[in-house]
Amino acid sequence: MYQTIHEAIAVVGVYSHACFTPKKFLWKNRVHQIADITSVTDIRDGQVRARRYSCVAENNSYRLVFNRSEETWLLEEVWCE
Amino acid sequence: MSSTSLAFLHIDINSYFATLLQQETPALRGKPLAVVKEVDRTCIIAASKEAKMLGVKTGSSLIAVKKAVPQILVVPADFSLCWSATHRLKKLFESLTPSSELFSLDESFIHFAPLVRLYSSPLELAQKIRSEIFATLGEWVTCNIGIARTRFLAKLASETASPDSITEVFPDQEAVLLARVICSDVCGIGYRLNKKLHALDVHAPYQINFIPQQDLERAVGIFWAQQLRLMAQGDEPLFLQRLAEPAKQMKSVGRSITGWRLCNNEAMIKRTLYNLVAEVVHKIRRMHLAGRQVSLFISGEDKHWSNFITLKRHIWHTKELFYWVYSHLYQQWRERFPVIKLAVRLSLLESWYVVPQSLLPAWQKDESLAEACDTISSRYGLFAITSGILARGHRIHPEVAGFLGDKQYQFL
Repeated sequence: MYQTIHEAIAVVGVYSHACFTPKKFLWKNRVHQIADITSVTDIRDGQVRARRYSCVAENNSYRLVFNRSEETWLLEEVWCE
Repeated sequence: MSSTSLAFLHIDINSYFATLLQQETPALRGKPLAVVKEVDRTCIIAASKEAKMLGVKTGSSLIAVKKAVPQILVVPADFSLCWSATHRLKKLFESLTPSSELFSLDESFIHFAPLVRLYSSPLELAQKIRSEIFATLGEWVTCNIGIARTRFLAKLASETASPDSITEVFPDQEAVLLARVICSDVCGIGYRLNKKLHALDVHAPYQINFIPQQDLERAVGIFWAQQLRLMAQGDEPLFLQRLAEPAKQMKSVGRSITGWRLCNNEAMIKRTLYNLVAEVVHKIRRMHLAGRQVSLFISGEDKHWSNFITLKRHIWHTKELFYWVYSHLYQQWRERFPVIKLAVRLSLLESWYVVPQSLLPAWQKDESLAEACDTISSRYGLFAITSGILARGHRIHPEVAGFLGDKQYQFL
């Protein structure tokens, strides 16, 4: 089950073919290397647009949310067995 | 034109809700998964391929399934994930062909005729689609593709095949397919129709060919007798033929909610009804529609109550609809029982450009207010501004239904 975290993070990634791919993120002073992006979900409510990157880092799943209007990153949820 | 160039392809993603969750979270892959609407819900709305192999069916009770399959994992559905994936699928099919028809959240039809110069056969197109879905949605997402002369046969072929397969039905195999499948598995034959067919000793669609017309009409009526005859021949019934027509304006918009437990609390019922009304009105206003038939449905403890009213004029304000739902219909409910499900519907919809507007100053004021709220909602989201009734507590937000009955609204 995913546990809500909802904390601001810093994300580093690459642009390729006009598409951003996160590569690592900084959360609680620790860098997490992203091994795989398993899913990309576009979320929209009114004109509030967000893109959720579901990724695997160090064998755990994370949901990173990028607010496209405010250009901010949040670690939204973490998978806990 | 050869028979293959007239073929239809039906693409159906296997166990959509569950497969997408497994794609997103590798820890869930290969495990039997039961998807419920929200945490603590007990009705299974989707099951993974692994769970289906253990006999878990959509619509089963979680309590019963947990007894039979103790290792089952229960996860809440992620509607945003599914809706986003459907958008990607729609874009993908539109990039491949000008004639893709979205049938439900995870099903589409593609007519091969316009693509006959691009692909040597429908099978080649099917293989291309399969690899594109893999690249778009991920390596865990698999699909069934049926290829046949009509949409009906293509759908039947993909639905009866094993997961992750391409099935081509040639004209000489059509009768075998129609004789092999059971009526309850056929799209369009619901529970009651299936029961009537059972009474005629019909278990497979092909058997309908041997029932005299009079007997069939007596059992299921003229309309369904005609539709069933088409199905028995492998031809398309009306609901599939209509996919080729341009989308028509919606006839009604409704919203229902089933709670966790029975509710007697008047304030909670009022609040829930307002929430449902607000969503219905938000949808009709976005589509510039107005309706004049208001319906309310209440159920709980195996009891049901429903009522409707047909108004002389069209309405399209939350205040008006809530008045008719709560102050009029709901107050007529006499033999009260604890409630588990509430449903609100506004029907007989027309474009608001063709219905007369009220000239009363009070109505004009309400319209100005509604327009201002629409502007705020379109910018900041639904319920960014709403009535004080919904100010506190959990709000019911719009959801996508698997059959995508409101696709005209969803793709606005």
